[in-house]
Amino acid sequence: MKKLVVLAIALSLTVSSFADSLGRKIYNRYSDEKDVSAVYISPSMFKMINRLPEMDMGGQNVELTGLIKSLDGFYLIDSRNSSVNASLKSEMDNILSDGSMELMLEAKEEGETVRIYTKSQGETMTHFVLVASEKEECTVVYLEGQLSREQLNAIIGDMNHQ
Amino acid sequence: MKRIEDIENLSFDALEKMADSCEVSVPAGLEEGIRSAIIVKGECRKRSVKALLFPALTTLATAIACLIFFLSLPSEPEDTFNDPYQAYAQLEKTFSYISSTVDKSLKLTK
Repeated sequence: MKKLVVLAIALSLTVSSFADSLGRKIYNRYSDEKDVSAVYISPSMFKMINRLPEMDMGGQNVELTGLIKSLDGFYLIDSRNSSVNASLKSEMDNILSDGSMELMLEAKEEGETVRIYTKSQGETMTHFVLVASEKEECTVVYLEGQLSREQLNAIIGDMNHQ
Repeated sequence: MKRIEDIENLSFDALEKMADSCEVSVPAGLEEGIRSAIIVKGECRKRSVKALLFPALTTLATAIACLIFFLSLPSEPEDTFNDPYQAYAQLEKTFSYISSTVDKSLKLTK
């Protein structure tokens, strides 16, 4: 019985560690579709970026460099395919409505919707998702890492204080 | 009464003769006892097979479930860029896009 309990705990931990690969799931599903541009930057590539000398990274943007050093996953899907747009938007809505991520910002205007979701562990943001959809375009940006809110706010314009 | 040394000094033939001449009394119910012991042992073996079957099946089912789960996981995509400078440029562009989208959204919400 004890062994079964240990096995169940180990299994649930494994499942939960893989359950976060939402970005990968979306990327794999839509990246090969027509009129869809997709970008994936792997943890290994982030390690390579972090080894670049800061001067070569456009050293003037120190905040961005610091933020990039905190990232270990990047997925971008930009679709101009109407059927993909509808499916992508509804899938993201379904996934994000389960409450596992916090809605940080929502703006709507004449068919345009922008939503930003984040997931945090204490003061550290581990996931950042931006879903921007308009009539002919749908964009999803998915970031994974250990981001400090200050770093992110400095880059995207100090959202919390506006 | 023979001593141990005497017995040890006896030849095999002498020992055999002694054994043949002795009357061995078989305790009453020995045969029945042996039979019932054999039956009990058989039952125990059956029970232990049954007891092992459940954990074995559970382990097998868990292993199959794990296999199905890991096979159904989304596979690792291929990196879009081979050059870290290009990847960095893409990140810069994306953060600029995020920043402008957030600015625009905040203006809308005001």
